[in-house]
Amino acid sequence: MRRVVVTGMGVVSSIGNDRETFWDSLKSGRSGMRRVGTEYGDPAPVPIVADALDFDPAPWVSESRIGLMDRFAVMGVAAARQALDDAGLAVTPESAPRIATIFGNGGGGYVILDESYRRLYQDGKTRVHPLMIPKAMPNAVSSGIAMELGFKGPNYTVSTACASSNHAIGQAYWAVRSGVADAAMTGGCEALLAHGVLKAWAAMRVVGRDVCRPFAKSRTGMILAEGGGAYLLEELEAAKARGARIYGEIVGFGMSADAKDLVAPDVDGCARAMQSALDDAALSPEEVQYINAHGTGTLANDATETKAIRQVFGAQADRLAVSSTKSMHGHALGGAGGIEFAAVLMALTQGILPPTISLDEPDPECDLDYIPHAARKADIDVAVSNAFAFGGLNAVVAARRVDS
Amino acid sequence: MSTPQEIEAGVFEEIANELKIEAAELRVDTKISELEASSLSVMEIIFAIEERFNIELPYSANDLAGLQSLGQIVEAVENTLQSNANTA
Repeated sequence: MRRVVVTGMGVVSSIGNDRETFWDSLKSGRSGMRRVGTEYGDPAPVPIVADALDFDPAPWVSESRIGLMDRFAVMGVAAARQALDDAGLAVTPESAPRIATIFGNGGGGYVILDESYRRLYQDGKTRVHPLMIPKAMPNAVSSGIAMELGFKGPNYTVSTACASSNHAIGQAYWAVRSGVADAAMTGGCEALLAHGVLKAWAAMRVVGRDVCRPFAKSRTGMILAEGGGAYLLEELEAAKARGARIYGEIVGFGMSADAKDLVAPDVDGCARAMQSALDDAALSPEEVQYINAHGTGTLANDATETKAIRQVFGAQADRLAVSSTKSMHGHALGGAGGIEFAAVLMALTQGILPPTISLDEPDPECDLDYIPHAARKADIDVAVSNAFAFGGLNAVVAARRVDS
Repeated sequence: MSTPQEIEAGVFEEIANELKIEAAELRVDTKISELEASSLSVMEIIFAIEERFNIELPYSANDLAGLQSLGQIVEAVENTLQSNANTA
């Protein structure tokens, strides 16, 4: 089986719109959350969001294409351009058909849907933008990446709510591992901060009224965010041959379905996805040193995830470090795993584990080492990234450090 | 404005409708947890009550402390209606 490595990455988020800024924020425990004014409707539909206010796609996406896409796809294409530039891979007529694009996105063009329906139902207009449909389709992002970067290989968008990015990364990993493609652009993105969508999230009663405090006794819920991450995957020998910088090797991917509740997470389902990733990687629990948790900051997720980690890792659960970087960049839903995989790869390459900030007093139900408050130096070899979605769909990716 | 009796009857009716049970079985000291309502049913119940009285209840899935018994829900509806009437 071919080995698969990451040679380029890009990030768009509330705490940085490029890899360096994002990593600086994670290392220093900087939060991207802010109190909402009336910009998403009056009264504010949710009290706090983590939006990428200073995101400007101009350096990464051609001007003519920006106008053809909704915000989520612009963010995804921007991250993908960063990742390709970072990797320095030449796209040639020969290589292009061998480069896949498998990207994650939960909701598609929520922003243009919201704007368009408001025109019709509230403003009394009779027309909507002629490209509303192709802007709103979730696969606008993987199509946009292909058109912008010239990748002509297998291309599809995975939509599994908050597990979208991890499902996409896993599928891309398997595509390169199996030889379906020689390289793949993967990751995921989301941008759905619009009045109607925020009202819908508020109606679910899972949105925090305070900053996101994963695993804390005082946690009040998740904080909605936007952004995403993109990764160029290559076969190991090909990457070495061209002298590429390697951020890490993807070694395992696992997924599962709870087959239970529409929104409540399930210990067994989460555990089976983690176990499946370890099995795919032929890893023992003792080899894993860091988990980037799904860690949403809801009452249900954090306790369930903690139990699932204990179930899979046994005694190793008390030795490994776990953090939820959502405490800083918020929950970017379908883009969450895309953002968080950057945290995993940077932790592997830099020997620094990002913290869980705002964790003043842990919930007694949450009894692992969550790296509270401040980043920690630790040379680690293997890390895991968890994502658990509404609908009970779980996807877990495992990565290993590659010494250059 | 509705009388306390009308509010209680309305709250019980919405809960009974959602859970397909008889409103007569419900009492103010009944706990939501005793009704074997799923988390989704609880959300639907709160929504139905909000729609009926045209209010927004201070309910969070992350903070169940405030609304555990049916009496607490009735009280929350009364308080919200009262405070809306005061600010109107």
